[in-house]
Amino acid sequence: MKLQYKIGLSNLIVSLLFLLITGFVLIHVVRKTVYQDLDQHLYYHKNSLINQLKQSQPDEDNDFDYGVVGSQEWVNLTKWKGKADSIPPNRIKTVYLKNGNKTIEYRELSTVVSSKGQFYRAQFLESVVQWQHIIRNVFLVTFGLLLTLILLLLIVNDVQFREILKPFYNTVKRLPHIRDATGFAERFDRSSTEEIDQLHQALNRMLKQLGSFFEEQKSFIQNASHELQTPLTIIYQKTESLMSDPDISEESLVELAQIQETAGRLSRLTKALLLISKIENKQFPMNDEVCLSDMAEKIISELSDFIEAMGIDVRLNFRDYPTVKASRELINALFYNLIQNALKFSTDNGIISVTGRWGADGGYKVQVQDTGKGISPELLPVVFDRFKKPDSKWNDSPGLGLSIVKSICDLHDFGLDMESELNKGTTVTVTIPTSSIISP
Amino acid sequence: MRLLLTEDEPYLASSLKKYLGNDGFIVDSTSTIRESQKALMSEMYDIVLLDLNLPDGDGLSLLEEIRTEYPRTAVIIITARGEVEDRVKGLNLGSDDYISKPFSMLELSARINAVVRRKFGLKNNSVELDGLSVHLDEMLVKADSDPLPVTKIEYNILRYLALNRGKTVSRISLAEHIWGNEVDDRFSLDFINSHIKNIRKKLKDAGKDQLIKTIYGVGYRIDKI
Repeated sequence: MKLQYKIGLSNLIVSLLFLLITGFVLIHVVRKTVYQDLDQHLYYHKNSLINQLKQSQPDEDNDFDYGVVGSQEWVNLTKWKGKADSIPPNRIKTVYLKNGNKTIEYRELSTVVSSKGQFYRAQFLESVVQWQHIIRNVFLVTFGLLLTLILLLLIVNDVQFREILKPFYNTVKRLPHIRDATGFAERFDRSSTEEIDQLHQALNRMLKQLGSFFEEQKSFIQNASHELQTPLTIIYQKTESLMSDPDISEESLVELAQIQETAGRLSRLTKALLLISKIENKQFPMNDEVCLSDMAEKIISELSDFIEAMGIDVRLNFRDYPTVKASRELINALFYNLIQNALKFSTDNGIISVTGRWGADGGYKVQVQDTGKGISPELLPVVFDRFKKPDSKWNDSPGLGLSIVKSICDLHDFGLDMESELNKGTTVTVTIPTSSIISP
Repeated sequence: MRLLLTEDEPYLASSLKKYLGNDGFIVDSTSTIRESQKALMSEMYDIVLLDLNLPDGDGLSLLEEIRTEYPRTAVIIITARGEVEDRVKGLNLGSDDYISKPFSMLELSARINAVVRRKFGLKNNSVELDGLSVHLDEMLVKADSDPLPVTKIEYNILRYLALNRGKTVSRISLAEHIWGNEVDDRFSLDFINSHIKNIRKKLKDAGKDQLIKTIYGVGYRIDKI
């Protein structure tokens, strides 16, 4: 839930609670005031009864009522047979009396009055009905006013928050775009809101640090590449120049050739490892527009010497020729490694099919399929791991081709899947998500 | 043969790369001095085609570096600066030749061939071996003046062995000179074997089966006559 909505919702809940409490208190206070008023009125009636009794005595035998149930107010007078020292105090309470099928609320004052030595119990009743209308009206008007006020406040609040949170939302909106090295140069402006300013400063510090880490790592990889490649090239070149000496013995030649092969292998290994760390550090700009089928065709022509020599039938079949947003260099490396790998697995006169089609569950699937040796099931889960090779024949070659494929796919968010059956062939499937496809 | 092309004009670079690739060279191309230094450090090139006007400096400084660090690599300077002074300066610094823009591809080919001849001590555009001549300016191999039908790779292998006649060429150097270094050597070495087998078969048909010697565990050699 958005922060803005969260604040709005909590404001709404608090306001409604406040409104409810106010309503209850209001009803209570108004009621109490009305009752106090009524009670005072009842006492006034009592006093006027006492005065009346002084002048004329009620009928000796009969009780009498001034008024009936349903009247606004009435008095009920009965003789009281108690002693003077046990006269009960005045009692006021609310009673509900039935008039037909209507229940009417009354305030009742019961008291004992005396007239010429005779005690009477007097019950004064006064209806609350009229007042209830007033209470309801007061309540409704007040409640309505409050509700309108609260809603207005909420709207004003919302607009205000929107304005206050604007820089915050702008920052939040920018954050997802900082995903790779190009984003590390982003900086956030100072803000007049203290917290947002602190957030921006912290983000700027982190971005700066990330940027410098990235640069350090990049230059480390470059330096490592130089520092490792230079001595290897020297070894390679020196052995080659020793080998071209016509007087050298055959035993020495064999040893020199082994040195040269080892240096070559080491050089390829470091190159592959540095390539993987470069990929993992996201040092490749990923905004090229690459046509997959063109790339596959290019790689096939680059490897045509081997394809022809092995008599391999390469079948290229792409549906719709899509263009993807990716690093051209890495897509090149991806196809190169996949197709070279298929060739390595192939036996003479085999078939390699490179196909591209739309997946049933979205995305575009590029499949490289060979009819070669295949990989045993227990090795299948580890083929993408560094230094694991599916066949002991390649024991001493760096088995990094598939690791490179994996890191390229991971970087681009491509799916990667491999199926294989011994002596039947291997199928590698790369799934390109729809979001990476520019056209069609 | 491996060639490094240092040219910052992308269209010229790509057309040169294509043309020279068809001529049987493995071409790597770079567009700055820095990239060239990196490439030279990790690969061995027979020839460098060097443009003098590069975005990160004067190609002449790279020329000096190549002369001291990589004496076996020949350098041909390409530039729009055609002044005599520049030419003299470049040649004095040790470039093997100089070609001014604009130039025709044929002229460039001829100059590269001349440099190759000099580098490998040849008198004309073909290497003469015991009854076999390998032409450098076209894909042609003759056995006793009859053309020997060879594929492009076979021609490249023969040319490289012929140019390095008298020297043992390891299979790995041969593979790198034919395919560059991107191809996994475990993989490409098998192909060298099968191509050599095919070449031998063709040479045998022409009665020259003893020409290429196998140095077991190392590579191949064509002896000097």
